[in-house]
Amino acid sequence: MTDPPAVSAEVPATPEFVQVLRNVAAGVASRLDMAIDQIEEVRLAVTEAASLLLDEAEATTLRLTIWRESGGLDVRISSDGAPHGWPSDDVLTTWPWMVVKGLSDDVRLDTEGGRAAVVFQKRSERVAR
Amino acid sequence: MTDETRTSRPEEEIAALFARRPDPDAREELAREFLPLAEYFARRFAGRGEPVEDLTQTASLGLLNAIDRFDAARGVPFSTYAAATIVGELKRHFRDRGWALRVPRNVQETAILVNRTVSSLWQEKGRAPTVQEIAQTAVIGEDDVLLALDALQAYTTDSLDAPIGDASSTAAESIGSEDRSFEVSEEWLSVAPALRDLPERERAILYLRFFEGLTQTEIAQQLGISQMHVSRLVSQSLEKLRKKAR
Repeated sequence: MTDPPAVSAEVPATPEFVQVLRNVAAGVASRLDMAIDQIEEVRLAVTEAASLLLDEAEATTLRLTIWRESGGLDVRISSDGAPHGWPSDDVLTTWPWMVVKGLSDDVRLDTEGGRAAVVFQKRSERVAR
Repeated sequence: MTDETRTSRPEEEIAALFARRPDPDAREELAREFLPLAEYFARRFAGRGEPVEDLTQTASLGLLNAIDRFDAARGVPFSTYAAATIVGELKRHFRDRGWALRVPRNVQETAILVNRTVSSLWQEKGRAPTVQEIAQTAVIGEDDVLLALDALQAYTTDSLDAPIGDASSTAAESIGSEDRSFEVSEEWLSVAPALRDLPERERAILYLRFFEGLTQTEIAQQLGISQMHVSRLVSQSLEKLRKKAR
């Protein structure tokens, strides 16, 4: 499969809808022929990144965008919750942050477009056949 | 059903033939009379990899069984009774041949199938399979595979006593036999107090994965369990922590 264009989804900012985002991410990763352990890590990283955003600020929507850059799977999860003060000093000592960091190859926090965001990359170990 | 399932003869004549049944002539006449019914179902099962002649023969066998066992006193028309018997015989034929008739599976059955396929592919390839590989091996859709994987990761709780690797040692034993003790730092535990409530093995895995930065493969080697097992335990324990945090 050739690289697809960016995929995005926006859902209400509640834990129940985080499930939808993780399924979207898993679906995209699977179509890029990632192995299932990698897919599972993408799924977990999305979940933890989302909970990081939900814990930090009162948000109404969460948005997931996935694209490909330099052979990796790039994922951005953002919320419309108050971007000022994002990230707070505490974020870097939270458990979800440690998990996202551990599961992805490169992770950063930003406020691009006025939205608090967690951005991470997962190197896709495309399976050779 | 179509005209093929009916006979041209008056009902009384048919009933008379059934009454004479142990008589091989009557049996044969009935079989000839209802052969179109058998042929009709044989055609409906055609195109699934079995020659139509074989299917007709199987359906005819079903028809003969139906003729022998039919009981008019039950008030069910013979064609209805025969149809069920013939279809049953055809299905058995496919089953004996190892052909799976396309029957809808429920999520649980799919999950069991996917689980088994993942294990064997993982073993065969020495790495995690892709969704496509699982779908092709299990002959189900890729989306079904994804759904099943999600269900499996979230809800399976492997017993500590489930045999791993060589069947002689259990997961519990391999943790216990590790020389290394997992002195998890206080600093780390303070990040997520709920870590204290996790079983030791899960806590150890999370520690190695997220504090020491080991890969799943490295952890699997250290603990002497399969990488699939590590992957699952990571998912499950993260899930537990998240539920506790709420």
